[in-house]
Amino acid sequence: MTSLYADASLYLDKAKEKNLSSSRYWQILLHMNEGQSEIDDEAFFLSANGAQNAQEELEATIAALVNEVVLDDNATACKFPARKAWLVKELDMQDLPQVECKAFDKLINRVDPQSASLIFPSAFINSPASMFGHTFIRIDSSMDSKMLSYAINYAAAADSATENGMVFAVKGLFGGYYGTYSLLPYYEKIKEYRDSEERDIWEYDLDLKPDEMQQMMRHIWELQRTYSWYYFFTENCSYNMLWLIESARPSVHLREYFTYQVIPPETIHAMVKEDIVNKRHFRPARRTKLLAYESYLKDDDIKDVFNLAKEDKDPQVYLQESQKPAQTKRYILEAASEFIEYDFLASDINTSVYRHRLHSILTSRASLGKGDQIEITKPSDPMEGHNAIRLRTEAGVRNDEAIGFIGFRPANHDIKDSDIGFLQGTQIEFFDFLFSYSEDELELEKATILSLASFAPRGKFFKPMSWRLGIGWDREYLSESTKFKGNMSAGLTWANEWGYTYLLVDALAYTDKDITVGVGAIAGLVIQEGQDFKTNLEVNQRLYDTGEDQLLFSASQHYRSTQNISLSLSYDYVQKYTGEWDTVKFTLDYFF
Amino acid sequence: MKKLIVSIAAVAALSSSAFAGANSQTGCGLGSMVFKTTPDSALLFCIQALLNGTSGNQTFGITSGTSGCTKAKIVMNERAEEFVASNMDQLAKEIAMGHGESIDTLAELLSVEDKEAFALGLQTNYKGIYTSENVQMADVLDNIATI
Repeated sequence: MTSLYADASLYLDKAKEKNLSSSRYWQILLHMNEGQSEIDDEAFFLSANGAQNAQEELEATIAALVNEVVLDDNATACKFPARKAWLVKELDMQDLPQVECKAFDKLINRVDPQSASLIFPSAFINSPASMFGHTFIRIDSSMDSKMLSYAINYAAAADSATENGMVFAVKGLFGGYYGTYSLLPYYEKIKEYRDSEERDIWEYDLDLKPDEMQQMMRHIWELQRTYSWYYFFTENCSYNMLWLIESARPSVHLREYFTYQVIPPETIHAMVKEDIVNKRHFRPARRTKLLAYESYLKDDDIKDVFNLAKEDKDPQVYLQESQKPAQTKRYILEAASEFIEYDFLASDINTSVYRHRLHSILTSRASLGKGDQIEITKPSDPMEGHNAIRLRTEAGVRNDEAIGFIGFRPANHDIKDSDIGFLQGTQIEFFDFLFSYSEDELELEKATILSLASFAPRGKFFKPMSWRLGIGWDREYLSESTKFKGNMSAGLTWANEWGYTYLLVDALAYTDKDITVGVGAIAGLVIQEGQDFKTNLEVNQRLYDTGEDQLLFSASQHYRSTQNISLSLSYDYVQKYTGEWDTVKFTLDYFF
Repeated sequence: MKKLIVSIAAVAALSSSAFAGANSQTGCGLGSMVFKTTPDSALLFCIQALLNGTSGNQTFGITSGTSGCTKAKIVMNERAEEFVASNMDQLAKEIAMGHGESIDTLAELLSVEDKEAFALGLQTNYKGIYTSENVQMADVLDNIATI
């Protein structure tokens, strides 16, 4: 025994000499952030003060490795393979006890880590909040098929089905749930996002080498049974992926891009800046596929799709009766098969109806031979979208007086911003502040707490509603002062290749000393001129419970100069007690 | 109108309102491994329930599992069994169309060299592979092996 302790002390001295505990890699392995580990699970530390004291944890780890009590999966070396591998290298530890890590070896054999991709399922329709999205890492093996890769995912262990919505949001914000890691075959994640949630998936191949992937896998193994408190804004899914990448290659500094909030797409921007993104791939959601069929098929073909998918029309009989070209029939049957699954997921049909319809349609489809693949237009890449934080400066004229504005918005996107990288017609804004300056007076023009909008176009296959809501202060009311407003609108949107138009009915309330309630009729038009130009027009006729009515109109021309710089020219008309406000201004937006 | 109320309520709460699917899992046939969360539940900042039913309560699952499935008789390839069990529906669609990533994946798992010929062969024999609407994973794999 004495000789073993002697060995440990030799290594301990050497570790102290090299000051290993303050090295970046050791700090990463412990998830140390300013002297405190972000991992809240005691089982992750071998010393009592390990979560605060990297040196003590290092000493405890060295001692435990030298003096292993068990030599199987429960050995320290098997529970902390990343720590072991690194310490063996740094301290040249040659004479450690032989341990057999069956479970870990099995995982490594199966996962076969060779490279990695960052996976970003983008927003789904009618859910602006999902724009913030989710990211996880896919660990790619030496196999050709990416479906057989493994996904490492970090999520809050909360059951949204049983938990009340408000409790869910509050607990998430303040850390009421455990966050844990999970590892699943990637095909399971594809089914979840592409098929079930109807989200397009973007895949960004990372420039990580096999030996770096070994390091990441060892560290993932250390984390598997640990838990930490989950915070929606900071220590969330995307943030925790950054630790994993840094554990693979400590020379990239990803976490430093974030201080107050981690919005998942922002982590992609950070990886681009750190130059670790190689190729990107796009995997369309079922909805995107169906929209591709919709754009190809005529009205009469769509009727056939519905008859097959919803009315139990026998596809064999259909194929004999219909005189349509074979390729049209192929597309009709393919669209019908996707539609059946869509209905099944929405629980509109039960398993036996689903099986019967799917089977008969696919049997018919198979009889028509391969044919052409439907062409799917790739939406713009989230990597090319603007960053989350917007700094705005404006200069212009309001009723013949010069006026300037300065604004700040920490997140995230509105329908006047460039749609590149975002789902068109979707808006989510938090804490949008705008101050005006004229005649030596600084005034609050607008302070939005939250605004959300979803202009979801109606088509032949999908007929969603559109809506918009907002809470905050603005100066749109008849008086000249800034007032608190809450509003919610609902309506319809139609789109084509030029852009989209919408009609909404709005319910709103202004509060001051008393509450003024109103209704509004809103019509809007958004025209996309090529990639970089966009025109927004909106007219809003309001009627208040005081009997007064009010007309508001806005027009703007937007130009995207670079990914993060936009210029626009706008005109706003607002009816007031004292006449009307005409504001013409020039806007410069900078995102970072 | 129902849809509107649901989406507004979901957004107002700024949280997920997933409803459990009415259909329950039945065996290893078509539709049994399809996720049934509501697509219009509003997620905020990657909050998610850990997925049920994919690997039991084991969150570190290197297998997607075939428990409850009949084993294939001819194809002794556990990984292929798992894959087919989990992708019965997608595979059916791709075989019917004569191409796709799931077919290529299966070809790789079964060490089939010529993927294009494999896909074509499967399409031609669709009826002999997905023999009925209640076909199970083991049947599909064994049928593929015998064509």
